[in-house]
Amino acid sequence: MMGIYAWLLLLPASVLLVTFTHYPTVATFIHSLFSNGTVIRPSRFVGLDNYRAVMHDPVFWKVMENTVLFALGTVPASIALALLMAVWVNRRIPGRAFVRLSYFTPTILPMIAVANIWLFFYTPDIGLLDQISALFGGHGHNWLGDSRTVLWCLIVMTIWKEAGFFMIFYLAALQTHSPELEEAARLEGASRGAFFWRVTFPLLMPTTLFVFINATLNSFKLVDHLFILTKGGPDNASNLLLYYIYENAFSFFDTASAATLTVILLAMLAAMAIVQFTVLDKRIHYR
Amino acid sequence: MAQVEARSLTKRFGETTAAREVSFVARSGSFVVLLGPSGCGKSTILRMIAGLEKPTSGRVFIDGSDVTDLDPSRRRISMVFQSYALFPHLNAADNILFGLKVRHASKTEQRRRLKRVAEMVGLSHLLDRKPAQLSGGQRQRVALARAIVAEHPICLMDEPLSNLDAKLRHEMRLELRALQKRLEMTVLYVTHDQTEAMSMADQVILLNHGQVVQAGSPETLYQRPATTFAADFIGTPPMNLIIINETIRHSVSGNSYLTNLINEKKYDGCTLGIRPEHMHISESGDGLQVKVNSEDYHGSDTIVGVLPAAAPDSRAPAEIKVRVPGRVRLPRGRELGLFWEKEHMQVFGPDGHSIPV
Repeated sequence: MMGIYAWLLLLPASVLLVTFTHYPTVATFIHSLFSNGTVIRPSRFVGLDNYRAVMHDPVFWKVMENTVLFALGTVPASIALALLMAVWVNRRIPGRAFVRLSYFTPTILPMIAVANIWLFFYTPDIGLLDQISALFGGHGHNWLGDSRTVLWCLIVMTIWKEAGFFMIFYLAALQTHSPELEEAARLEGASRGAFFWRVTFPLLMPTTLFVFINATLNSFKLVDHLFILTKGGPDNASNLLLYYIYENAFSFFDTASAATLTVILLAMLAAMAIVQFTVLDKRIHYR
Repeated sequence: MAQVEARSLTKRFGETTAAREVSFVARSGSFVVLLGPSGCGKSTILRMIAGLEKPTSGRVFIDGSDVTDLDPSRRRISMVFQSYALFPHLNAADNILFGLKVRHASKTEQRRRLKRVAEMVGLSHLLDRKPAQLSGGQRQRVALARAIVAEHPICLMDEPLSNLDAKLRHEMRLELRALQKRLEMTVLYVTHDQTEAMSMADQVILLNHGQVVQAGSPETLYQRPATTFAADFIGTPPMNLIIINETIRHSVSGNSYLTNLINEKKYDGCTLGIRPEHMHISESGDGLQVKVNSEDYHGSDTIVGVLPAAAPDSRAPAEIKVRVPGRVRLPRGRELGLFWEKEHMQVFGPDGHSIPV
């Protein structure tokens, strides 16, 4: 009787989870083992052929490289910036509420809006960046059109967008720290820096882990800006895995490849989450 | 040598004044207790001496030199916080050694001092535990060890025992006092618990509303309270305060110094102060006429609460407490006569200050 009751309580959540998470995952995996069906050639089981094809696709490797660079460029930088801002606005500074709000503002903007704002910054010659560089005698540069700079442009913009959001988590964690800890450390002769590295930072590790996982996931999930800014170009120089999946599925109508890439993406994310939780968890102090 | 002196310390937070013109001297090697009810500014005074709070006016001197503008870490003081302020991610040993580590003391020096201090406070077997794995009393010991490992001559303690249970508190009181004597530290100790003050202090500084009410040895404060506030704050139960008025005049019978005193015009509106243990039930029935109202048995003695016999029932005055040794059973409403020796009585003027009789 109790068992039925428990299952009934779990039912609404399970229905949603199964419908929108578990079933699509399984369906995608199965789909990745079949060829694309057409009217004359129906879909058939091909085993790992789709995976082999993807492995031989040079664009896939370019996209993977971009994705990893994008993650490495955005995750540590946005976490460090978030921590810096949180420590800063946690102090008694004039206009603290205003500073906090301004740091948080990029978070409430939709990525599409952010991309539009930054499009204006990056526009060659008339964009903000070029106008400023012109003041110092610089020449116009097609930031988003140059395959050497385009990915970095996206990274900078994403850091700007994400750091404020992560700052909120750090700020919340910092406010649970007793001010007496800092006073005790001061009496013991610890400088601000020593206190930060020996006390504040280790105590923030659970937050850092949480933010780190979220930042990593976001770096794989965030592709909205590509639609506005570059569409993955030029020559796939700014193409990211999720956007490439979208292209495969809805531009090239190659759903088998899209399913295959999705499974690869899922496997990567799962592997990272496991590593983060098992390795870092052991070294973190939870209250 | 480490004498601490506060000279006219004043601290205002906006409209409220936490401390007003507080001055005192804590002699080198003495145990000084800042005592007062909550909100009397005693913690603020301690924090100003520590350097965690900047005084609005007034100076702090350590060994005669002005340290008011000196950084807390350079005042040669250590501090035990009420919450202990232990670093939750560090084990007991690392908590104790925190100060030595940030000041880059050598490893051998750290080990030597840790060993000595851990033995002193009885923590040797718990050094690898995190604060969360320690009991309240053990955390208290870690905080204490952290304060003494620096070997600073001055230790400030902000209600360090208030989070412990009664039995542990009693043990720690004795231990703290023994430790202070052994290390010859100057201790400034903040508490609202007058028992702690009485049992540990060389000197008690009683505070109220941010001002010093009375400073002196525990005996002085107990025997000769300077004001009705001091009389009422110290002692369990506190000193009986009896206002000289018509009710009292009608309640005193017999011919004694008391009858003469309360009928003198100049004592009108004054207050008599007598400790409960100095009040005796007279054989003859003379003295202050009272009715038994309550009794509170404590084992070694019984505290009998009485009311002046002439007091109108409608307006219940404060009970007078009488300490009677052993177990006595007195029915409620029984009429008694109370007397006390003249030298055990204090008189406070209408402004609450002690006046000579």
